[in-house]
Amino acid sequence: MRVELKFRSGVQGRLDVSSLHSNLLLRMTGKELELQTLWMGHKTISLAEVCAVRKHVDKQDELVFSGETQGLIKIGYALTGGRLTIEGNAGDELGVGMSAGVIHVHGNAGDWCGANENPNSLGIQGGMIFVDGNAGDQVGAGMRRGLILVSKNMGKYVGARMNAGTILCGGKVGDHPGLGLKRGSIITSKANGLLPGFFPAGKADEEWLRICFNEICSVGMRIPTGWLEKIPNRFTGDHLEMGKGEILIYDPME
Amino acid sequence: MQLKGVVIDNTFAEAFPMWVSRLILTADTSRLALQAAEAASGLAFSIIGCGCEAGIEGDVPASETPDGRPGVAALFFSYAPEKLEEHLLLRIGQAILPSATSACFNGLAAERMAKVGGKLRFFANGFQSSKLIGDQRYWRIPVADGEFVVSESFGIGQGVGGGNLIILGTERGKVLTAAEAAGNALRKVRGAIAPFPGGVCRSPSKPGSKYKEVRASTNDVYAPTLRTRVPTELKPEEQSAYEIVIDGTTEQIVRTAMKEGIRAACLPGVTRITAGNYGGKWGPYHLYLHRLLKDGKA
Repeated sequence: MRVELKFRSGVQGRLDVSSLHSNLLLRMTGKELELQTLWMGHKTISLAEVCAVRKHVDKQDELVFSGETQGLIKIGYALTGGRLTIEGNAGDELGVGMSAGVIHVHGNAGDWCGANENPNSLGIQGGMIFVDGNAGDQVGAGMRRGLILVSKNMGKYVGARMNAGTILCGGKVGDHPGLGLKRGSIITSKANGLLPGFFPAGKADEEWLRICFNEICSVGMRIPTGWLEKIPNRFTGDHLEMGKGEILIYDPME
Repeated sequence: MQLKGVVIDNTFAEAFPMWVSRLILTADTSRLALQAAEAASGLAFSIIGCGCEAGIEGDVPASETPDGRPGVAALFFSYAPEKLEEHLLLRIGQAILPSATSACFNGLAAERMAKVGGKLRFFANGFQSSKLIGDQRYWRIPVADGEFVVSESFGIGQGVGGGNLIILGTERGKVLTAAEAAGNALRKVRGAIAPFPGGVCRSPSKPGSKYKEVRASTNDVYAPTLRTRVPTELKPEEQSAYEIVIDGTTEQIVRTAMKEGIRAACLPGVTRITAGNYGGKWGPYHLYLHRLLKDGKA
């Protein structure tokens, strides 16, 4: 079943949609869906007050957010499977706490995309997030497993304190990527520069990258332009931490 | 029954259950992938002496391999899952890992999994790293030409071993040509291998020996030089015999491979095609040659 939540424009403030778990919503009746509560600041409101709910019984399992989605925070919170689509921009903390499933944002994503909820917790522990546009700061901070692909640019501190997993940026990463990186891979077309805890380590080995690209293609997504024809340069780090992480950069640094 | 003038004996091959794993080996070129596969499946001809039977199943196009490089599929059989795991660890670690540009992936979805890459990673001495991509974990082991990528676990499933054909004829050269043709034909059947060199075995064996410590001995009934000393299976005009051993992932695949082998082996100089069995007491699969040729079922 496909459940589409079309958010109305003119809603003031940021809406916390962490209670909208796709595995629950797909099994609810229309009435139950409308009564589902959301947090707006310290107040709760019902889903019916801010969006129109449409169910398509004959389609594949999918939860779709459309309309005015820019102010929605924690979309896909603790996602454990299935497919979630945002037909627009997503707010901050997209996919926080997720462990499986696929999130696809047709627009931009805010800060803390696939990151940890707080500095003491882990970032996403599995699943895949695809953002067709740009993403804000701290993408994949504290990430433990999974994959995040942003087709355009990312903000500062990409993969900060990352434990493992893979972050791919089709455009340019902001300043200080991989700050405190323990393990895991950050792959980008361009970077301004790297922190002093990263050292050049020749060219990347392509085999696992190709496996990764195959997986991305298997869910119907595209590899950033030019990546299949080139071999990126490899930098290991953050050597102030474990030093088992890597940043792969396709184009020479500016 | 006769096929192209060759007598097909009314008998059956006796096959038995074995455990099987399928490896997908990739490399920068198909030549390098084949080289690695040949190294890994070397000295794995007979379960009796080698503990493992292995062979190359066929090419895997780059579009179907996990890392998008040219690949080769190889099948490994053994009598116990623990023994098979031991051989996978040995053969991947000692033959595939050192092969230039190679990578090794699991090619069999099975309930039972053998942790192989998860053990081989220790070769990296702490510099190993893993990637969980989809639901598969891969280990990256740093080596001198980059990284050796290997699946953490390999599927171990139920297969069938011991399918066989014995090709007899008047001249050694002609019988060998027919046996090689049979070996080539059956190896085109996906899921089947003929583990002996060129698919052909010149030394059919029987279980047991007059010597206590020897587990198997020459099957004297097919040895032309012993025809005056033992109750021979050879007709007076038959001077040579070659055996084709066939293992497969399913009973049906072994049947199909045997059928293809028989058809290919009916060449000039071949008088008869028969099969080895132990009276039906050893293996649960009885693959009757006449039924194979008539309706494909044993």
